[in-house]
Amino acid sequence: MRSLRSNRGLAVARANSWLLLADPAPIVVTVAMPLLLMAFLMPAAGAQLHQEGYAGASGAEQVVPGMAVLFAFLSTSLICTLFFREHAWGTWDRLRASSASSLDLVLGKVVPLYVCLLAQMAVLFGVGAVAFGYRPNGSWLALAAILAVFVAALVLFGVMLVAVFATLDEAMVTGNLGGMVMAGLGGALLPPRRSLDGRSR
Amino acid sequence: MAMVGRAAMLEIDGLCKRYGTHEVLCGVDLAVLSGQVLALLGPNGAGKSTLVSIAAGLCLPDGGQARVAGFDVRRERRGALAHLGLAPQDTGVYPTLTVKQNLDFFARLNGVPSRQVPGRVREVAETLGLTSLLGQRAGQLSGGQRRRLHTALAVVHGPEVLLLDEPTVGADVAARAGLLDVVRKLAAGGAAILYTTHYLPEVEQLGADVAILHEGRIRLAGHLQEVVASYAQTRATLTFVGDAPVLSGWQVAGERLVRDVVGDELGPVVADAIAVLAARGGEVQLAGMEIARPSLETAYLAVTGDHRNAPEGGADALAA
Repeated sequence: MRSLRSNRGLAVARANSWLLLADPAPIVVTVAMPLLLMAFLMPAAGAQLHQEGYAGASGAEQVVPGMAVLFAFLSTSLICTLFFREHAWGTWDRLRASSASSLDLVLGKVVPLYVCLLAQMAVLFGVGAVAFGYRPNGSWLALAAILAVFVAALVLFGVMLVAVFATLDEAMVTGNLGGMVMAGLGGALLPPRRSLDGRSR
Repeated sequence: MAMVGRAAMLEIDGLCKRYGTHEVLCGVDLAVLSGQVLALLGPNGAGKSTLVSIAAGLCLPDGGQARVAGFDVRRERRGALAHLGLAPQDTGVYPTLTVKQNLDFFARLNGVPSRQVPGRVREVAETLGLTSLLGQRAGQLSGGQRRRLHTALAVVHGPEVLLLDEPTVGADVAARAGLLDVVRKLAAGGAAILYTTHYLPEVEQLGADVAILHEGRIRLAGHLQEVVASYAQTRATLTFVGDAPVLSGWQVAGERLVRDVVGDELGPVVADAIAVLAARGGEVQLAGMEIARPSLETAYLAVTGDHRNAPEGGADALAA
């Protein structure tokens, strides 16, 4: 984080915070949609968990972390957009021709988004706890630490997509499909054991 | 083009760039001094934007080097870019941010200390006529206003070297005049400005020095007046009643005789022609004479020999 202590890194972070706030629709969608899906899917998830032998489960144990993780993966498209739209706006060359280092530019772009995704997680788990009665098995603090690492990994995944692919469409398709696969395999849609049971039949 | 006592702020030495087998730049040498506006001219695809990209550190050369304020752009990139302002060919602004936010960001990004940023933003906005637009989103600006903001972002940190790549494309007459005025002021303030354009009248209005890039090489460099005096041709046209007579050294075009002359030859050439015609008596009847004065456009065409890719107004100038 040495770079962000420089004025240039801070300037990039500040401007990218403005950019996120100036057009908040994508962030609002990645918060509102999982909350809606949680509400609709909770009864089905509760019934499924009962079948699995979890008598006291409400379904929030599945849908709150499941939807949060799924939509966090889908948020990688935000990271791709944040970089690729600089090309569309013609500002990328201006950034590169400035005296800011590459590290200033990359960190300045991803740190606001990292904070934004952490806030997304906080809202989803917070509303999940208050509205749907979600409680983690372990401590909230441990969950927060895991989420912080998870979001960092996601942001790096997004940066990797930007580095590897030449167009926004390629990066977003790969990010969304890859995110869906990883979320599915991780148990965001169904508990993993159930998925594996289904496959073994 | 020598300007005694002024430091070379942008130095291009033996620059080469190849795309595949196509050599875009082959051994280009240029220097732009403090306070100088150097207009880099050339047909489409001549390598002007490539040269600007290399000078701005956006593209690596295959040979040679570019130095900004004495810093090698490749090896001392951050030092070089700290002294550079770039307005690329395509407009680059953040449409969802306000004019003020755009200016504020690029000032800080280029190292203007926080305390000086509001003052710089106000000053540059005033210079470029953006003061009343500071609170407006850049995406809502007209094309000309957006061009002015685009240029303002390049100068907000007060760079010593300014690269303006076709800065007036798409600007209306008033916006163009305003931008030229800004370029003059910046040069008067000591900035070294490399200015690429296809609009040759702009170069004449700026009174800039000229370098013509053609087929990867600088074909001609010098002060505007020197270039025009050395290379531009004056066209003399004699119009007759009925078919034009045959006259040595003149081209017949229906009722007209046409001759292009360089430098001071015009007077003697026309005087000789009239003397010869007068000697023929009533055989020929001269209806009129037209002298098309030399301009940068005719010099440009003489140097590049490329009439198909003539800059704005070039082909017309010859046809006149």
